[in-house]
Amino acid sequence: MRGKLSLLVGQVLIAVAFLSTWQVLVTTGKLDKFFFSRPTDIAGRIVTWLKTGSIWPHLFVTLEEAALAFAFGAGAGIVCGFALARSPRLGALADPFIRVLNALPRVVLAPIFLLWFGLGIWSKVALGVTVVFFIVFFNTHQGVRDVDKSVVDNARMLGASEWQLTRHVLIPSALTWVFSSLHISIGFAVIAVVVGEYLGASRGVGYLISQAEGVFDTTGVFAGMAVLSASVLLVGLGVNRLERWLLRWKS
Amino acid sequence: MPQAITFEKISQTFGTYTAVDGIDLEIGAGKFVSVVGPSGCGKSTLLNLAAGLIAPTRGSVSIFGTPLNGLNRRAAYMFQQDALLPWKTVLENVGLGLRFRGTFTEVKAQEWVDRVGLAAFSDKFPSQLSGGMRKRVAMAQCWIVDPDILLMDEPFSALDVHTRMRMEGELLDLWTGSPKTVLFVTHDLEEALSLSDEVVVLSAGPASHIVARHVIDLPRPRNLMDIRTEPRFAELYREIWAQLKQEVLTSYAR
Repeated sequence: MRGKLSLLVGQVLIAVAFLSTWQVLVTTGKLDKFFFSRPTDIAGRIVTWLKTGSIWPHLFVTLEEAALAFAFGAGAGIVCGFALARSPRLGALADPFIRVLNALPRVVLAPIFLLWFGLGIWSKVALGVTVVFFIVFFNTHQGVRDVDKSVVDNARMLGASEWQLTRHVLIPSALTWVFSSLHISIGFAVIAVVVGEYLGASRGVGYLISQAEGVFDTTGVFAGMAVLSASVLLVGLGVNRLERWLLRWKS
Repeated sequence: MPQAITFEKISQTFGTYTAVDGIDLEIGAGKFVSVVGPSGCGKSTLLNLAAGLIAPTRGSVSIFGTPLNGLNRRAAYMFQQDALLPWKTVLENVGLGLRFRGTFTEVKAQEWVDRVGLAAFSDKFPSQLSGGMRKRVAMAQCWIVDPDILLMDEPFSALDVHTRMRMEGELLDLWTGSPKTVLFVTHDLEEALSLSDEVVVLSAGPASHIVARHVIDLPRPRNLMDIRTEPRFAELYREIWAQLKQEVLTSYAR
C-alpha cells in the first residue's frame, strides 16, 4: 500500500513538473504561445466546452462511430475467421487476398470511403471496420486453430454434435483471443474514426481538432487531444473490467 | 462372455510410419485390461482406434460384436493431457456429456461432483484446481455418461506418486461392481499390474505387435497401498518386466 502511494505521488509530481515547466516556458516567452499554447489556457478551453456543453455532440459522434466500427468489424472478423479456420481449403484460397488487403495502409482508404459513404458517420465507421476486422479476424482464426486436439476429441467422445462442438468449444476458444485483444481493437477503432473525421467530416472530435488547426488555434488542438485521450482512457477502464469478468476462468 | 472390443488384424500407418502392425486382441466385457509398452509403441493408437477417432488402415475394430464405423458411442475416453474446457466450471465440465445429450440437470451433475469429492469446488474453474482434482473432474466427466467402455490413456502419468495411487484407488472403487470394460494404457508396469485383470505387452515401435498377454490373478478387492509388496505381485512383475525390458531396450537402440 505504501509502495503504491509513493508511486502515485511520484507520478503526480512528474505530471505537475511537466505541465508547470511548459506553463513557465510559454509565459516567459521561451516557447512561442502561438505554437505551444499553455496548460492553463487548454484547461480553460476544456472547462468552457464542458460548461457550454458544446463538446458532447462531437464526443458522442466519435464514440458512436468507434462503437459501430467495432461492432461491425468484430462481427465480420469473427464470422470470417471462423469460416476460414474451419475450412482449410477456403482458408488457403483466401490467404493471398487477406494478406494483400491487410498490407494496405488503411489511411489511404479514407478518401475513397468519403466518396462512397459521404461526410457523415458511415465513412468513418467503414474506415474503422477495416482496421478492427483484421485484428479480430486474425485472433479468431488463431483461437479456433489453437484449440487443443484433446479438448476437441474429448468433447466429441462425450457426444458433442458439430454444432455443439462449435458452440461449447470452438467459439469460446476464439472469443478468448478476441477478448484479450479488445484493448487493441477498440483503441484502433478510435484512431481510425478520428483520422476519418480529421480528413473530412462535419462533426466529431477529429473534426474539432482539424477545425482548430485550420484557424491556427493550438489551444483548441491540444484541448481536443486531451478530451480524446481522457475518453479513450475511460473506455479502457471499462474494457479492463469487462475483460477481467469475461476471462475470470483464467486465474 | 461377449467381447467388448475386438481388434482384428489391425495395421495402422500414418504417412510412411507404421504404428502398429497385425494386432489381434479381444477385450472381454467387464474386464480391466492394461496395455504396456515402451514410449512410441502405438499404445495410444489402439485407444484411438477403439474410440473411433481414427479408422484402421487395415483390419477392423468391433464393439460388442458390431463393426465400428465412426465414433464409438458406447465408450468414454480419458486423455493423458488436460481435456477439460477451461472456461467452464467444475459442475459444467462434469455435466458436459449430459449437456450434449440434452439431459443435463444440475442435480445429476452435482451428484458426480460430490462423488469424486469436489463438492466444495463446484463453482471453480479448472485453472483453480490441482492436477489431481482436474483428473477427478475428467473421471466424473467420463463416468456420468455411463459408458460401457472406458478408454484411458496414461490418465495419471502427470501426477505425483501418492496422488496417483489415490486416483488409481478411486478408479478401482468406481469400477468394482460396475459392468464396465476398461482399456487402460500405461508405460508403468506396476500401475498396470495393480489395477488389471490382464496385461498386454506391446513390442517397441514402429510396427508394434503384441508380445504377450498375461492374466493377473491377484485377488480382488485389491488394496493398492499394500499390493506392491505381495509375493505374487513380485512374481508377476519379474515375469512381465523381463519381456518389457527387452522392448524398452530395443526402443532405446532405435
